[in-house]
Amino acid sequence: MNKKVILAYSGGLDTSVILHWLKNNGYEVICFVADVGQAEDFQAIKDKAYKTGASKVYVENLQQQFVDEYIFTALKANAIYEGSYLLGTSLARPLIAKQQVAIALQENTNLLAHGATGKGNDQVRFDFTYYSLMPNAHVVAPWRDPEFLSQFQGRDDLISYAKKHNISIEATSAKPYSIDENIMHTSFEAGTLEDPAYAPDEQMFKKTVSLEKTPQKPLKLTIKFEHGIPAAVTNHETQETIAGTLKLFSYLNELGGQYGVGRVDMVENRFVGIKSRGVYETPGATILWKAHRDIESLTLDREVAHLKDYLGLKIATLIYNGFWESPEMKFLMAAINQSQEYVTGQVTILLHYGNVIIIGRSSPYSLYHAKLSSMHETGGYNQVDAQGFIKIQALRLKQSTVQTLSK
Amino acid sequence: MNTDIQTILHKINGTHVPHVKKVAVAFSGGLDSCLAIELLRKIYKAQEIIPITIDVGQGKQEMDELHEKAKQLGIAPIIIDAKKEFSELWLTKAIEANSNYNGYPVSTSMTRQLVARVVAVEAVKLGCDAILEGSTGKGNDQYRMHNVFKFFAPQLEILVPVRDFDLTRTEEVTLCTYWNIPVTEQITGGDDKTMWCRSIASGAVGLNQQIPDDVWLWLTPPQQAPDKPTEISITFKQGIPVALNNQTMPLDTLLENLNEVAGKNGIGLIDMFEDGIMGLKSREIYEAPAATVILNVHKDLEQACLTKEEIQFKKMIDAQWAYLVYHGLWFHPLKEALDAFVKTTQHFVNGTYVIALYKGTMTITQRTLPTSLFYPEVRSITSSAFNQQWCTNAAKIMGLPIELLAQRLAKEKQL
Repeated sequence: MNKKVILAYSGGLDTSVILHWLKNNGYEVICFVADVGQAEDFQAIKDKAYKTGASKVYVENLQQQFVDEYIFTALKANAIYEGSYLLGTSLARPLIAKQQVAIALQENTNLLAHGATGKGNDQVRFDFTYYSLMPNAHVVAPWRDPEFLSQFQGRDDLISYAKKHNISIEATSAKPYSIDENIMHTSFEAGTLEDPAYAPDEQMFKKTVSLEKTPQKPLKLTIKFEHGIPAAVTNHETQETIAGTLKLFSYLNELGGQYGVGRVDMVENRFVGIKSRGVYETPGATILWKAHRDIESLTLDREVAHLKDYLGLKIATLIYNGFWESPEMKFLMAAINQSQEYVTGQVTILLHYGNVIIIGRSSPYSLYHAKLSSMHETGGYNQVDAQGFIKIQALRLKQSTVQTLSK
Repeated sequence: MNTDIQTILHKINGTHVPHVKKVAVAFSGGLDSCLAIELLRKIYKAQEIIPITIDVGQGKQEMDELHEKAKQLGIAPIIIDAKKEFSELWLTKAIEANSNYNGYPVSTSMTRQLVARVVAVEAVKLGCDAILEGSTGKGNDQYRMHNVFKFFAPQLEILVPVRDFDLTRTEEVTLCTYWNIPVTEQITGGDDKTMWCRSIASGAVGLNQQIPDDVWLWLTPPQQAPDKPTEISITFKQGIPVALNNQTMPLDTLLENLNEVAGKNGIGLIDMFEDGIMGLKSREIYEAPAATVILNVHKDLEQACLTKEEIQFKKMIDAQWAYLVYHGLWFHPLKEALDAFVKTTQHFVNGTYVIALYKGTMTITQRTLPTSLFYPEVRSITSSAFNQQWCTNAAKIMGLPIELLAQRLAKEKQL
């Protein structure tokens, strides 16, 4: 009996060659195609998988789950890696891997394959999720297999292999960089982008227009949050209100894209210790991240807010490094979820020339009290109290100086 | 278990090894490094072998044994004395940072990196094309030494025989017997001594294995320790212990004396679970009388001399420091940045402590603190250093966020 392997299949050149190669090496290959919002013809991918030798093909739409359980989890934590990257690919990999494990269980196998290279972050994200959810998993990663590597030393080898074995390559015309797309973002790396000084080509972008092409007039939106989760978006120009997490997320992607929001070009530190240049476009999430942080500023206690900033950094690193399914992630998210109890309210913003400009916010649970901070009103806060407060706070400063002088 | 010599020989002969000419060996005299010499001759086919031994305070007995074994193996190791460097440039930083990883005062973690640096620098100077070290393939030291080798001698091949040939301890012993290699290992898993802490049978201790009373170097088990407390005094200057019983002495001498007196009184046994570099837990037994006393006193002293803010923040820095050093990142820029922070906090960490050592416990009986922040004349409830009415206002301001939280709770009920 052939060894049965579940392959995370994209329909692209790499995974198509891998599918064929695995079959030639004695595997029965079941393909899993995850729809995480990439613009693809899934029927065509399915047909191609069968034509290339798959014994069975699963195509599953994971968009809703991706938004609710992955993107909005990261949103609650304000997770941003190295100051700029909103983790679009890092978040999708553990979801794809999780679903792949579910299919493996259903198909009664523990062999899981992916087409991630041996130099990147994605291999780690796939593998860690497999091992966490299926401790006896056996990972088949051709890009780390010496035999596969000696056979395929570059893209040309893949193409000639595909041609030789009648694998269609018309959809995979040579791109000067590698792309990963999902509902949250498009990422571009490698190829011409490997020179960090080389400016990205304008026609590369898929979700956002360049700033020169954005409307002159700003667009006003109000975003409603409930317990840290976006609940509705109101467009003040059209007066329409979009509810439902997946729908509003797609809506913000579209509007953000029109206003050139969410492009990032950065050099980041990969888990494997290599620096890498990445270009991203993340319109909808960029808007939500900014608005969420703002509604938190109104509703979170100072101490919670400050601690949460620390935890957000740690969570971003965990997500980036593939530790989505880990004890420390559960531990940290318990704290983050707790913090969102009162993060309810709305934020009004303008989209303009790539900017997300906050112009107002309100919440039934606001901790902001005008009476306390106002320069014009008295009440609630006795300025005389400040005298004693400062004197007591300053006791330790005085002692520290005495200590210095005593030396 | 694989103890058949033919099977072992077959395994090592069938393993691909890199081609090396002149090899520097971090030679400790232990089982692994003795076996390594023969493997270099017979299997790696090195043309020239340069054993280098670094003295980090492993003691006279161990050094004598090393010379004896070197003679039997027909080698003459280069001996480099790094005791002063270890105490003055490494241990001082450890003390300042309250060196503590899971309860381990962090010792072998440091000496391995010190040894690796000296050997790597020598190897480059002597024109070697490879370095060999005798770590096992399951422990932490291989990672530490690898990092340091790569930092100081990036171009050299690194050989780690146990790892290269995937040997078990039993297979190593069989090979040593077969090749007539001297073995004097009394404790399986080795015995790593430094003046700061001794590690016993690392990675080889079972869950409920009893530790026999005769393995200790300094320690008298508490129940057999003297029936009367021994009082000692220890003086710190800017975070570093400088005198014992009011006698000024260099740190290495101080540690030697303190190990003896604290050990006699049953202090310094550490029996703990450790999270290794690979995330695997092991039970570890350490003997560290002087380190236990010094770290305890240093912490108390910091509590008296540092500000509240420094104490809160330094806890994180100390934990990160120990983590980096344990993980073989002594020479990492972040570790050096942390050293600089820690150093600036130690300016006022001065004082003399009198401590009673008694059957495994230490009690502070007297503190002399010239530059602490303990000002009883301000804090004491019997003094009138500040107007307590100010506190009414201060409490009101500090409690404002709490009042608002209460308001929100009340409002939520009405929503």
